[in-house]
Amino acid sequence: MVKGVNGSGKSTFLRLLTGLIHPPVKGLFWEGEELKRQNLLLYQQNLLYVGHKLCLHHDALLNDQLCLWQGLYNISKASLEYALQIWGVAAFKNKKISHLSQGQQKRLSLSRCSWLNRSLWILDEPHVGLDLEGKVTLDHILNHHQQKNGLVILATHDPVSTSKEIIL
Amino acid sequence: MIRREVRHLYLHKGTLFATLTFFALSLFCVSLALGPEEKILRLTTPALCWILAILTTLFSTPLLLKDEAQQGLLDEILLQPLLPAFTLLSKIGAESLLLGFPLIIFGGLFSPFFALSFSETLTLALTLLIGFPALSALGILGGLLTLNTRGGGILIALLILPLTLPLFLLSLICMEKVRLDLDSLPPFCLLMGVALLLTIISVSAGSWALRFAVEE
Amino acid sequence: MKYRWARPNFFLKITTPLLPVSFILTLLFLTGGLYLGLIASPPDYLQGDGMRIMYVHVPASWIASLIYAFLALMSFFAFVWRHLLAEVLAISSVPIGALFTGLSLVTGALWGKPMWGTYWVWDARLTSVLVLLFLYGGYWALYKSYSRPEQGIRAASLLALVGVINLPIIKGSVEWWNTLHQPASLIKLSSPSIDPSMLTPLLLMAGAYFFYFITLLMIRTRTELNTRKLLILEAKK
Repeated sequence: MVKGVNGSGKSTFLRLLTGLIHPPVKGLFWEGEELKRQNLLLYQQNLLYVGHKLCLHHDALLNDQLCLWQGLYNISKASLEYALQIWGVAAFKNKKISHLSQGQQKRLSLSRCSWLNRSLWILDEPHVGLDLEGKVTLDHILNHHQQKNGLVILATHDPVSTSKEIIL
Repeated sequence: MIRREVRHLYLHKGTLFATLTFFALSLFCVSLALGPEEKILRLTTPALCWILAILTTLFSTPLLLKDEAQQGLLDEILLQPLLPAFTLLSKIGAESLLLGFPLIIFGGLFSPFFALSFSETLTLALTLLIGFPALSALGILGGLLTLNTRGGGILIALLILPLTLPLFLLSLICMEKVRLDLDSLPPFCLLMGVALLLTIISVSAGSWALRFAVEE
Repeated sequence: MKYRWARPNFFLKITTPLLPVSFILTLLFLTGGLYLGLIASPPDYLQGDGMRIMYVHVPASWIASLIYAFLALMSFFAFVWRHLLAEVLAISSVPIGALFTGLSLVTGALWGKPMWGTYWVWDARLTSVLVLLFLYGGYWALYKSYSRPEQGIRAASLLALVGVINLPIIKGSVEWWNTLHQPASLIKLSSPSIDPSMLTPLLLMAGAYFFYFITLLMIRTRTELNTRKLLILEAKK
């Protein structure tokens, strides 16, 4: 868990960890190895990043978005729909994404955690914009992931049960 | 992959439609201003079509990119195992299909109004067909370079217009040769070469620009 | 910063004595070139005294292209190795290059009025110099439109690299376009054989411009480096 006051660079730090930002001084290390071109790709294949920008197609229907994800990540339609069920947005399949509320969009974006099978999750303030029920779902899924020996790095202001804290 | 990009681009059908309308409208307006004389129309239409094609791509391509950047979709491209250059190429392909083809068909349909002969129309369509991917690639490069700047639109024209000059001039040379019944093969081959080179350069430069555009 | 000679501090140290030398060289070449070109050399048998504009014009175009090549090289270093000195050198050279390009255009137009009867023709050379000016302008505009200079320089470097590959293609196509349209009746700027009495002032002027470029480049780079140092110091406070 990454903590810090506003403007302390949490988001930038998380983006650095995803390899999207070129580290200015030293390189990025994972499991004792420096990430260069080839293994950076491998590392990124093992990583799920949900940032402040939700990575959704605003003009698309939810169904279209599902189709795009299916093509992009080779995911079966069934697992996608199951994930939507978990996050409580399965009922809006024929709605435009820009017509969904902020919280619903956030849920949709976070549903990646359920359908994308990656071991390292990097989440940037995932609690923001979720209602109580959504936060409970999120915490549940985070705990489940940790029990499966997955690693979660998240920036948040909400209290979460964690093993380690980094304060920026 | 192109299919995915086409599907994605199709979501922005409003922008595409507006762009096409802009192309057709300004073509009409300028030819109205030039008057009904066939000789002048015949001389100026190819150049006009080309300039308008350049402007429309330079304005619409970056617009679409900006939209994607705001949603964070460019991050998604970079986190894919695929080289970003391939994604950019498929974007160019999708844009050529959804914007380039209608544009060429528009130009072809209206060319009788501008007193172009059949062979001239065909040459114009062919040069546009060859040049369009390169234009789109340059548009993407311009869009990526100006993604994090203030006031993108005009800046892109300033940056990219000089770079489109060879495509434009070579196509006009082709048209001129066809009109004068001369051998138009050499400029045509040269146009193909230059278009290919420009596409390759701007795609590779674009994939670098993409990398630092998301560092914001 | 692997190399000693490429450190900003080393640059500041070494240019302190070099700056006056280069300045004096500029003055020497300039007086020599102007004297030979404007007073000592014979008037052209075709173009008369108007030809003397060439001594200002031709070297300016040479140096303008040379500076673009320099800019592209520095941009390459700046882009690949993110080298601070290369970045600063690149930015500093742009206004100077634009200055010489503008000088070349203006003197070309002034020369064209008595020779061609008009200030401007869409001659291949003039057009490609104009494109060069646009490229400089684009570089500067792109650099300035970023709120953070370290980002601006990378975008602008990329643009300069694409531009330098394109420049020969642009020039070639403009030339071809031109031969199709204009009969080759214009007086070409380069005659097949140049008399030594004309070549010497040309080369001297080119030398003057070159050292002027070097002098300005050093001054601008030093200023920029010192400004950055100051900014860092202020930030530390």
